[in-house]
Amino acid sequence: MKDQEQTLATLAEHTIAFGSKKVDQIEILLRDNYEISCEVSLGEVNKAAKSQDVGASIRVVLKNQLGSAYTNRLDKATIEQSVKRAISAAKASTPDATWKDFPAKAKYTKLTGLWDESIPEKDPGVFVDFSTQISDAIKEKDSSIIIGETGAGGFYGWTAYANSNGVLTSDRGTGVYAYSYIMAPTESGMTPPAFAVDVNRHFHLDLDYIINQAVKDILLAKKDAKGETGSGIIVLTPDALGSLLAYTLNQAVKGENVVRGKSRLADMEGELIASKTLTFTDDGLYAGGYGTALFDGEGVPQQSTVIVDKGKLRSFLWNHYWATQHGKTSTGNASRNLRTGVVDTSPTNFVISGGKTSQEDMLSEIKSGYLVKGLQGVHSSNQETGDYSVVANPAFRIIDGELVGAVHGLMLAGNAFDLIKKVEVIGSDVRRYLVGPGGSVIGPSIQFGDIQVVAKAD
Amino acid sequence: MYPFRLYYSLYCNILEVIHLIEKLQKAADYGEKLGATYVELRAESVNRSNTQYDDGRVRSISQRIEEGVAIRILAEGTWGFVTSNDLSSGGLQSSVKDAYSLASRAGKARKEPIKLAEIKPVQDVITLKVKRNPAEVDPQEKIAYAAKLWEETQRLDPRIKAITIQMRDGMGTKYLVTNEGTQIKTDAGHVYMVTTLTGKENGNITSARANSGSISQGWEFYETTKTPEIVAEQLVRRVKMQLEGNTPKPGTFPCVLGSTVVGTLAHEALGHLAEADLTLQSAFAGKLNQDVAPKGVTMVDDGTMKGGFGSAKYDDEGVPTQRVELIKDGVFNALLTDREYAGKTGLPLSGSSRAEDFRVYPLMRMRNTIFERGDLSDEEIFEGIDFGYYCVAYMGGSADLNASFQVGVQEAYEITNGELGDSVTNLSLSGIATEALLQIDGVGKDTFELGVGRCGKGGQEALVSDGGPLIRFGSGPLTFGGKA
Repeated sequence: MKDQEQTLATLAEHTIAFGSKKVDQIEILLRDNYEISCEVSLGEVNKAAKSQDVGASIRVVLKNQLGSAYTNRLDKATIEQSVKRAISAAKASTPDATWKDFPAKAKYTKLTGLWDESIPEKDPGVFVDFSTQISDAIKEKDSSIIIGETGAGGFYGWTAYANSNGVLTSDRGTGVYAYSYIMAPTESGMTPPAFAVDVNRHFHLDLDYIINQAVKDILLAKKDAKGETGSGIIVLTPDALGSLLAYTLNQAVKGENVVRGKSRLADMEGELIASKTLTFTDDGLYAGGYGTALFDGEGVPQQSTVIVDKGKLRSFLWNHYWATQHGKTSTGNASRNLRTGVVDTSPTNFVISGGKTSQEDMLSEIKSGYLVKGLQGVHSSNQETGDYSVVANPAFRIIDGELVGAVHGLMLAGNAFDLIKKVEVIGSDVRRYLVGPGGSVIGPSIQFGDIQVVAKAD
Repeated sequence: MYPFRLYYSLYCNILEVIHLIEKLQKAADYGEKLGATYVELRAESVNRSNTQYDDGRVRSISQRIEEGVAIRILAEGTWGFVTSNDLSSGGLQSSVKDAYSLASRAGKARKEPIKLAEIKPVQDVITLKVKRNPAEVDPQEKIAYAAKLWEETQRLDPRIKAITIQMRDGMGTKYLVTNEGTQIKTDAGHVYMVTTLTGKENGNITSARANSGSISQGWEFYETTKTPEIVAEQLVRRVKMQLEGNTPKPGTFPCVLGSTVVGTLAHEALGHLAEADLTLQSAFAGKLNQDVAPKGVTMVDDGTMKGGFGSAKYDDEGVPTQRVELIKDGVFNALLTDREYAGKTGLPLSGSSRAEDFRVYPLMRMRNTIFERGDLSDEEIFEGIDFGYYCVAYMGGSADLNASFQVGVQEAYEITNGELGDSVTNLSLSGIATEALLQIDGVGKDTFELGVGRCGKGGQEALVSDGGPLIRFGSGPLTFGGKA
């Protein structure tokens, strides 16, 4: 298995040697990833799958003109052809007068715990068993529950990066996941779906959490509750908050948007932009995090960057290109679409620091409010203004400290930059999420006050 | 010399195609010999390009050929699925074997075997003729288009500060071969562009977005239909409206929805929940043949629509696409199915099985989803609304299984005493589809333009279009998330 990492590294080295004679600068990023998965639909095993995602993205610079190419075949001849295609693309491009260079050599932090030798060797039957186990256990707890889908899988892969500045590095990673996605009929229709997932870079999954959390939510959601229009208290789970911030705050802290005049936080470094109780960190080295890796999409070492420290804006997130445009250093946040050649900036693991109050204690103090576990429509938020207008779904009504049922069609509207100033309590229930538009989010439940809530008319 | 070379290259291509289909067929037959009841190979070779242009600089130009195969096998009553980029005979055989082992292993845990609805296998060749193959257009021409669009937006409004233009196109061939005898070769392609424009005034920053694309035209689409001038005018209008618009009010109001918002409503409110895999888990379960909208309201998903971004002759299982009346005269009339779900439910096949490419599993998806025209004139639609909103352009939408839907709106106007008034900044509307559709208050009679977009489901995207005539709701069924 170690051999594949070496094969990619050797190919990367060869590409640079081959291309360096023809262009001013060259880089290559190679990936070879596999996933084995099983899916159970409506209580029956539906499919087992093995998929491969393999490819190499090459960028070359000729007289400040940038061109890129992609191939999903990793042999020397095809890679050499791809270098030639990238050169043709560069010749067809226009010069970028501000272009500096690809990243220089750097030291990488030694990371452990990202590779579990046993995962690539697993029989697919293991994931079939996990999926059926979750499905059967849920059905046993309540036969009225519809098992939309349960599933489990494992992934493993290798990556290598090299450029004409002498950078050559490689890495490998593994992981496993399992999930449940369930619902139940109610008198008025259907509950909102409940989703629970666990993910680990090692072969260990908390199936009990996946079963019990989803069932708990559905049993509660079987009761309908009513919402009230006005200013209210909401508790957002980290995946719900993470998804909203992904389309608002995270856009404003992207170095690219700061340089391009698209960020409303551009001149606010050091200023208080959020509640003093809030700390957000982009932690590319988080132990066991889904987004944890040795280097980013430009071969730059990943690192831990405090974005907001006790409410104060401390740093933006940079990839190499936009950092050099602004006299800054990359924070190791380059994300890369191998196929399109676009290098973007994305969080690695978005970590919201936990507080001291358990979620149970937090909810028990709320006279009237909502626990919101998902937001519909975050992608239609205005990325520049931060204005959002979304449906809280699932949203659970809290009355006198008790969760009393699910509210359908409850809207939340406001501005994300105001929202992060309205924190009342931060939970201690820090959990990892790997899915959804927020990417890898690690954080607790957070209680916000004075939030515009719009209930559906009767 | 030149004609001979052309002839020679064409001849080689034909040989290669015949050879590839033969190889796929041999692999399918091999799967059957292993004991599979159904073997499907979906191969493709597509020439793709992406260009991204930001504020005067070319961020990326990428051109590539993507080749690979998806193998789906039914054995022991369960699916096995493998993707690979190895199209050699040995590679295909090895992938078929892998898929067979996966299905056999998973099938041990299955009680009722999956049964596919039967189809008549077809052998067909579908060709595509475009005036200008985007793969052959000089990248300089695409950059010049982007530069013109950027220049035009700045000329129209000095408050414009940034632009991101993402252009992509693909042109290539897809093959579908099964052990049942289906052999379909399809030439397909698309051009698509998403542009985001940002404006700034007195510390207020905002943006607007526009999508455009075609699967029946090549690069000529951007020379004749969506020229830089037309796209610039639309985007600048939306940014201007965001910078100058009134803040929307929260609550429920009467409203009139314009064609792309009606399209998004069709797609999100019922479209997704009419995809058979989702219907069974949704608030629309058991509502087939019941009233879900007022009499006179008809909503269809039509894969045969000329000019539709989601149109095709066959779906990815080789089933002919068709016009499916999801709501017929107010009644929930049909579901979108694939062979597995048509087999499971006994409902007709609809040609809705779609996979984004060879890397992913086919899912039941919409194609071109529209509300059909009604009988009200524009004047009649707006008549009698004391205060409400006219929602013109969408900015994304979403659907969930409890029939909760949301539509983001990036261009909207106030309606006061039946007349259009000031513009309104970003708003979004939501509702519970099982209740809201029943309360449609009026449907316009005018023609409309289809909107194009990409729909996400299960981590993959499908090119879709949607639309409809003006539709009116009274106060109640739709909630607006505004600011108090």
